[in-house]
Amino acid sequence: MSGSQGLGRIGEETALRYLERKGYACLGRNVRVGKDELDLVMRDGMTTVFVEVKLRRPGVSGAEAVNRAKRRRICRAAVVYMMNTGGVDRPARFDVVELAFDGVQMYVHHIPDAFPLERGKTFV
Amino acid sequence: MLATVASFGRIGIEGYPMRVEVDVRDGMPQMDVVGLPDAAVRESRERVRTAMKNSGFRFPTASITINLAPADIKKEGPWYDLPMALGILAASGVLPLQALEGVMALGALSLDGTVGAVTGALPMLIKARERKVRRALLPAQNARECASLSGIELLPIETLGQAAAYLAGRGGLQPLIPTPYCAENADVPPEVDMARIRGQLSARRALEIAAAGGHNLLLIGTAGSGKTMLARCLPGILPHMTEREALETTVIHSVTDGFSGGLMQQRPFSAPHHTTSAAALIGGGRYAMPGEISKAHNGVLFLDELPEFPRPVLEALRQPMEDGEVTVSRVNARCVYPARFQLVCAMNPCPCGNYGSRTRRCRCSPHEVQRYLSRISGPLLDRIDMVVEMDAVPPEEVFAPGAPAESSALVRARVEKARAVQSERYEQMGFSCNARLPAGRLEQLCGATESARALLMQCMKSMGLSMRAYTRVLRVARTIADLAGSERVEEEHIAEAASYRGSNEKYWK
Repeated sequence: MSGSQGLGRIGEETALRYLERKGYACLGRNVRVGKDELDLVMRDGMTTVFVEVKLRRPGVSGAEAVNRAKRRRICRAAVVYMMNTGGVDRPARFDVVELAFDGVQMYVHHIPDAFPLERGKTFV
Repeated sequence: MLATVASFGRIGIEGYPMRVEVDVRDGMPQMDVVGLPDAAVRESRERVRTAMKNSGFRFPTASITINLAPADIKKEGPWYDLPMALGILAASGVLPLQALEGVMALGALSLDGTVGAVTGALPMLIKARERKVRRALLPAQNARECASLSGIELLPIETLGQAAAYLAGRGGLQPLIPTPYCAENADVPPEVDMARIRGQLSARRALEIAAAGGHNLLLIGTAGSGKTMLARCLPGILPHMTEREALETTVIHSVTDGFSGGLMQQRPFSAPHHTTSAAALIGGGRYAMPGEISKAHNGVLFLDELPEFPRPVLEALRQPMEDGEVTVSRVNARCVYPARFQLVCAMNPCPCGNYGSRTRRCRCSPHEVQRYLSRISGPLLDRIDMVVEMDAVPPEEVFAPGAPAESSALVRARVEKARAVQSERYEQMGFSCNARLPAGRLEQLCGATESARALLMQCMKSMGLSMRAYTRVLRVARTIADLAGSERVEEEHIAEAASYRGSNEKYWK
């Protein structure tokens, strides 16, 4: 378990460095909003980007693991984050960064605008 | 930014103008569709997003709100995909906003950006033309159906990319050249030609009279005597449709059957099975769709095995037969559909099918026969002008050498002539054939001679005809006179007309 968490930590680090190389600025890491957590909050030009980092295990695509329930949690947190930092009428986006580790090297797959705002029953 | 794309919806067979308003603004990436969309419209979100991406456009990462106005009418179907996509492109600055002026768009999108057909495009475009819309982008699959419309520039499109390129001013679309309706083009061979019918001279004659005057016809005959085949000959000898009739009929079929190939050329022949429900016959369903009687508008409604139809279904026919239209009311819609059809029915004379046959013996008791016949109500029988008995053709007649019987084309020529006489006589009176001649003006318009009148009186007495039956006989006599080219109704016309009443008396008295 701790090994897996350690790998997750390395993954997040890799994703952050990758996005920063792309010119994104980091606004926060592991941002807690209530009981939800946002892996990375970045800024791409004017757009606030909420990044979910997913470490791929053999056979399962990381992007697939971001299921509807997970998307809802991210969206819920993102809306609250936006409201707290200046309002929701600003450009925003949800990205997924998929990572694969083959024991030697980390492979990065960045999916911009991976999903639209998902609305559950918990908020408008 | 806000963009508005003109489009059209429809309730029943009536189109109505609507606007697809698209607002794209900064915010959480989402797409909302409001304006009473049904499930198919709500699913547009996923189709539009994917189709745009697969057509090489960037789907804006922004908060998109789409309103289908007027917002108080329920929107159904996937036909607003295309206007939504074009609106998103314009509102996100890919297309100039003024490109959408004077243009309407209709079309479903598939995931690869191909534009799919619309159900009921014709009534929507007719309305668009009325509303002076100059250009219409419509799915290429609907092009033939709407090709007869002039006064509106129709641009058939295959893909979203094509539509966007055209609106961006890069051309690439050829407007459809209107092909006006022409009755003479409509000479398609009939489904069943009358040349194939052996013998049955009196039934052939009756069919011709029914066609010439638009009379309702009931064929009673033993099993296998050719009732169904004869009835199927009727559309082939009915006069060609006028452009207006063709348009009316195609509009209904456009709504019920989806896109079609051009204006209908043959008069429709609708033959619902006897298990058909009243709602399917008259019209109904969630959106009050037209039923079989409206699909038979300007054509033939054929009810085979008439006594097998449930009584309530048959009784439901009575009002539309009188009025030539039917009002269908449901929760979501209330629609009036035209239903001016010619009713042709076929039935066996008894449960075993042999009653009255010259060659076969009937196995039914008189009571059984009577019960079978009484399934047809008096009021319905009253609305049938002609009853014709048919018996199986004897084998020596079937295999007799000699010239084949007259073809449908020859019979149709006579029918057309008789109809021309009628429409000239009834010009500006709101009806065009003898069957529609109102009882109040019958005496004045039918022009019976004194001796013909005297004979009719005599028939009424000896056959015990009711007043309604009297008007029926007179109408049929008028048609017979028209076929004979006679200006007045003579004795012989009355005599023949009364003979089509005879079997009526035989079975139901």
